Amino acid sequence: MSSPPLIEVVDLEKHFPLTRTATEYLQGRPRRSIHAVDGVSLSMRAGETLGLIGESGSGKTTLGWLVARLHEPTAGALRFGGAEVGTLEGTELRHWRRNVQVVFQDPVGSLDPRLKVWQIVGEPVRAQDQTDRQILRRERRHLRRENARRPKGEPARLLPPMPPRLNRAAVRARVREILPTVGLLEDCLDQYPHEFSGGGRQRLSLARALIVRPKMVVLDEPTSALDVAVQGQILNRLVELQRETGIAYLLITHNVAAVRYVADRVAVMYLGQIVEVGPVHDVLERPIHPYTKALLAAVPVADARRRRSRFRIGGDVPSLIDPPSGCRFAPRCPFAVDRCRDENPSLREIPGAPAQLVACHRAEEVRAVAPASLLEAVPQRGDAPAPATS
Amino acid sequence: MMDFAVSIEGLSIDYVVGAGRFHAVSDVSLDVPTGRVVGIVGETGCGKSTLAQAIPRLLPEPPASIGSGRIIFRGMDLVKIPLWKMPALRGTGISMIFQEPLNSLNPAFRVYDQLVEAVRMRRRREAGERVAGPRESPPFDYSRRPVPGAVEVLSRPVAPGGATAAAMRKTSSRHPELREEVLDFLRLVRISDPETILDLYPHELSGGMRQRVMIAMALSEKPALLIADEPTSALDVTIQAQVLTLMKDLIEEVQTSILFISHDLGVIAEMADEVGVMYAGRLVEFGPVTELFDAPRHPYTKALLRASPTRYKSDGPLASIAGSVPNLAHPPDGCRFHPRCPIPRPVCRVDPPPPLRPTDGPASPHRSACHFAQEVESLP
Repeated sequence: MSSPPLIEVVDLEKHFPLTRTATEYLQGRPRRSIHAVDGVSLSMRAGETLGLIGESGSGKTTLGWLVARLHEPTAGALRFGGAEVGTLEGTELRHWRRNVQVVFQDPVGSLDPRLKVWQIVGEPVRAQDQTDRQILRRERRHLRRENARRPKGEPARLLPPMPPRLNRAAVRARVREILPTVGLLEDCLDQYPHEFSGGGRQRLSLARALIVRPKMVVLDEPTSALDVAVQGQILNRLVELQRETGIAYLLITHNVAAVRYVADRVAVMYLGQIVEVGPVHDVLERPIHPYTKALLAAVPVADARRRRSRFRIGGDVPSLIDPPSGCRFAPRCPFAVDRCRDENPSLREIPGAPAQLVACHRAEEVRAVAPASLLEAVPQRGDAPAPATS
Repeated sequence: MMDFAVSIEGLSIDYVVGAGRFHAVSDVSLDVPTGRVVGIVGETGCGKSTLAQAIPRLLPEPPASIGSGRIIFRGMDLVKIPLWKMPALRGTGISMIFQEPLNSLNPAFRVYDQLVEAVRMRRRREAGERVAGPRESPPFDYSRRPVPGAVEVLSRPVAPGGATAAAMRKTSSRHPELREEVLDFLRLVRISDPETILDLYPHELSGGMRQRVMIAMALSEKPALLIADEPTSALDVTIQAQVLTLMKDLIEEVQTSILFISHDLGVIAEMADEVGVMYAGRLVEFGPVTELFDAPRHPYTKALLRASPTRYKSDGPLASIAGSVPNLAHPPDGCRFHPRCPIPRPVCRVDPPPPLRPTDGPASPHRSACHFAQEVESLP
């Protein structure tokens, strides 16, 4: 715990404003907004994997994009290695981007179909080279001005040399170097993305993220478009890479199984807020927050004996436009009391579970409830007579 | 003796495209017993959706072409019925639920108008009217031209003597009775506020709601066979659990047979009574759900079960299946799984295994298409 956090997020908010209709405008109603991320605080250490689970619309992708600075936060602080990056812009932001890279969800849509492998994977290298040169150019310009203004007799300061622009051969060499680390063959440099299978495309996407040697990669649903067999290959590769390079992952997914295997810690998101965070084993084996329990109970297990049980959590995920006051899970929560509907709980430590932080008023009381009790066994109908048995 | 909702015998389907002939489904035989849920599981591209769409003949033909086999539904062979006669048959016994509810609902119509169409069609048919699909050409007349018995059976007027004027009026889409029936179907799928939902457009509904509307629509035809093609894959886990719970309840209530297709072993384990595993266009294993999940008799099933991650990072690497799904234009000789199989023998490279033999004794319901089905159990 002594090492400083790699990423620290404090009360981060991202609200997307909605347009008002003409009537609303004339009535002078305030502009409403989608509260995609609403007061999230968390931190990640170097070399750690944080799994972020939640359903669609819970704001997990928005949070991932905020951490990678693909969105600008509405409020709150985002610190990387102790320095504020939420307000970076221009060249500084571009230069910072080499620290955090993203693997996007859709392996088809995130690869330009008209570019070849070396162009796709090499693009970050070129972009970073351009940024480096821009910074250098600025530095040289500054020095040149200083030199022009210097008092007579003082020697001119030496300008740093301007390296030549990265050429095609250099980019191809970098790409050729990175491809084997994600399990692709070196000779596919001149292929197009459509020549790859889903898993192959996801590997390309991963190579593109890794080529600038980031300290952290945001993995946005890296395996949700893949089959189980391929998913295993990719997840194994991710874990191996982390062991080799000490890279940190923010794994955003709705797939509890993937989080279980890859993550060290888990944060559970619901409606733009984190409801529970803690070590992966604790959260998945002894969940405290009712929503975490519901989520785990809902995951279908490939075990025929657990079948035909009825899921007892009803209702839909409420809208993120003007979300409910009080606890956001209260409308669907089987344990909700009046206090839950009035007062929004904040993350706190629960006695007896020091590693877990939970945002629930009744955490102590519901702690012992097993996720399986959110399922209700259904009387088995005539299951016995299989077709061909005599 | 056994009563089957649909019975598929030796079905082969190819896609003929510029790049070649893809054998999407090869020699698949499958029975869906009345009132039971049969699950089909397999990876992307194994032919499970092709199989599902072939049953109501929804496949675009061409490029698809049904090479051989029979699909027996209510005593008739659906493969032999000319495509132009299919609209008259669709909706009279087989309904389908698709994966993406937003794509299968019409965005330009309100929920009511889409639901009432199905109900109205059924009522008109029941009232003795001849309901034809839009593509019914050449037009045919039952009184003049004798048609295969099955078609006649299905379009036989329920009210003898044909439709009365009163019955016809009842089929107007604004008739309160129809509205009431639509509301009933929405209540059946546990939509809490059906009156409001009726007047909404599909985009105003959440994913779970849309899929409920799709299920209501499918059930409103009172099908004998319901084909669910990945009905919950586009939904979130808690919503998926709700929809699965709903479907489980409906199985009890409406007593229909279901062919449930999914890539998710967990979903199949929860829903199906019997499970078929498909690989590269072939049905490689079929059996009662508990037996198949407890003691798989095909190396592919075993590998698939092992690949679903249930462990932590500290427990060591995940199992995965080496290699990739074969190109169906040139499937491997012999057993199609042999290039990825952990126990390939020389005979597997040459001889394709016969489709599905009983594994334990001749009467066993558990059948596998592996030469060495008995040895699978001892695999790691």
